[in-house]
Amino acid sequence: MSIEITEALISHIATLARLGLSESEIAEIQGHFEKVLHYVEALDKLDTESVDPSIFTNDAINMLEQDSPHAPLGQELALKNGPEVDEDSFLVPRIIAEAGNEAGGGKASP
Amino acid sequence: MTENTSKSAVEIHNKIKEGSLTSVGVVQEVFQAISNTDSKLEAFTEVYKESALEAAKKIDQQIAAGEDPGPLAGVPFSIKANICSQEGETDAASQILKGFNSPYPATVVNKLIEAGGVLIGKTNMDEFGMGSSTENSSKSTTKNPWDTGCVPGGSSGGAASAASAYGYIHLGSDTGGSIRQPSSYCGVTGLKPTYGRVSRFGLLAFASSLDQIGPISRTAEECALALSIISGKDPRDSTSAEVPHENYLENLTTEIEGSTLGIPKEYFEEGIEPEVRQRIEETIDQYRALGVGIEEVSLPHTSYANPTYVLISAAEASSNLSRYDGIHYGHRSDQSVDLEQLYSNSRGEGFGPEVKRRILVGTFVLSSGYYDAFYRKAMKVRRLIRKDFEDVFKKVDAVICPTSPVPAFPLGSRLDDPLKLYLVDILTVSANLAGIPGISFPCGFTSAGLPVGTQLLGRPFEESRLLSLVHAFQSQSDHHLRRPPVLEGS
Repeated sequence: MSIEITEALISHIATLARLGLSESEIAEIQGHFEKVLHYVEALDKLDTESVDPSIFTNDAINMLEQDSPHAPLGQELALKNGPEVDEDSFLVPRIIAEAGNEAGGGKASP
Repeated sequence: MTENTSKSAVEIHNKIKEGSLTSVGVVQEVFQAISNTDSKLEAFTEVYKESALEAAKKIDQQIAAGEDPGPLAGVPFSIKANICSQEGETDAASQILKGFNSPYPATVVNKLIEAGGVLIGKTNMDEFGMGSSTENSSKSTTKNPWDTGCVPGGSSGGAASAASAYGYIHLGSDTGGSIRQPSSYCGVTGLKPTYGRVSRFGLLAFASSLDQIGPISRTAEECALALSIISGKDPRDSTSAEVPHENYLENLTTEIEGSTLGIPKEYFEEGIEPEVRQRIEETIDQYRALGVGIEEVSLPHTSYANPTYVLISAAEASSNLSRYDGIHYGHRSDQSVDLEQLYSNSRGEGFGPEVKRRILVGTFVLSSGYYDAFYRKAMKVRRLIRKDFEDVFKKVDAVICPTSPVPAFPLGSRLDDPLKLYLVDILTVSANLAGIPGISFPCGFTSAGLPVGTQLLGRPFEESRLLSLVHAFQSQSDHHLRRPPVLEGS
């Protein structure tokens, strides 16, 4: 499949991946995409119409376990690596606007 | 090199157990060796001197009291920087996880410690396992002990470099060759177990359908000891396999007469450096002399393996690495006014260039309109690659080939073109795609004195057979006994 790799496409993918890129990074990645897509074009030569995809190599499905309660990690341990936390939450910028204000701009509110 | 760091983990364990050596003495010696040499190699990112000596002291006390501290009692081991421990940081050599202290240890770490092993530190790697030279690390650039102007391979380059220089057991992880290729470049033995043989709980995920933890050591015997301890079903990893536990060390034999090895013709077709080819051919002759049957086989989809790997590993990486959001752990950008910016700035600032490339390729191939043409197509080719191996293993017990088409290359020589670096993985990725075990072991040297590794690939869960094939070779050869020049004068 022939795809034109444009800066706009790279920016769109970066938005999907929530990955901030500088202009020079976008240009570098544009070149890299072209090479990678050319490299993987080799697969087009294979007729795989009737082949089942192989997602995992162990074909076991529905791994069940005993429904027995066990101690969870605990709030203190779960929060200890959070860059901004209070006593029981991870903190993020405000995502719901107060009446009359736009969302965003709030620094690290729960 | 100190007296004990030249001995095997099995020998050291026996001496500690019988009381002729103390674990404290052994651990002090290994730290002395690291302090003498690691400024030249930078294999370790962290060492845990205090907690290791404390653990060693307890082992010695248990032995003095007539207790059995376990099958690894007193033996030093290290873990790759993407395997969680409660000691120090587990950052996968990435800025985005700088300062991350795991709230729990990986299952493999628990198992080795419960067996009496002494955790001495963490080893360097390519960021999140993405690389083949350990140059994509936010920490340092690890060097090859055989030539410090060359790469140690990657991504478990720190572990392989440490195994070569200091001995004992070093856990790595292998997504497309990251245990076997650096083992080959550093002249040591490295085993990627069958997918599911070892729990991945506590391994920072790169590509979940491909990742496996395995040991890197000087000998097959030491790998057998380590695998006996770390393998097995883990309720905390639903992809770990429900297969009977094996004592790989007890199963080890040099009686390999009557086994059959297949030479996959596609692995020798092009791009193999002449000296590498020569060493592999000599190894094949040695197996013949040991009574092993050799026949040519075909793995017709070999040339499709690397493109398939590039797509699948990138897709899985883009999904796995979405957890690094600047909120739960690690780096958080202070340049953000809203949540969207917080995500993209934290990730943009925290990830290195190769990780960004792979996240973007992976996001692209999973995105609407491209999924079928790339990701689904790659999963279908993966099925064909698995089938190739299933067919071949009806005829032979294992296949033999080079681990890498080239020996260790000069630092910096492949950094300008990521795709060129991907090509050193062409002989290792198939084992991950097929989920089968693979082992690399030293089989000689180039005229420049760089090690060459032979790779054996086997049927699922036949690690015992691979380990015995290598053990038999190592009983008849001394490549694994040679010590790297970096130790001279240390």
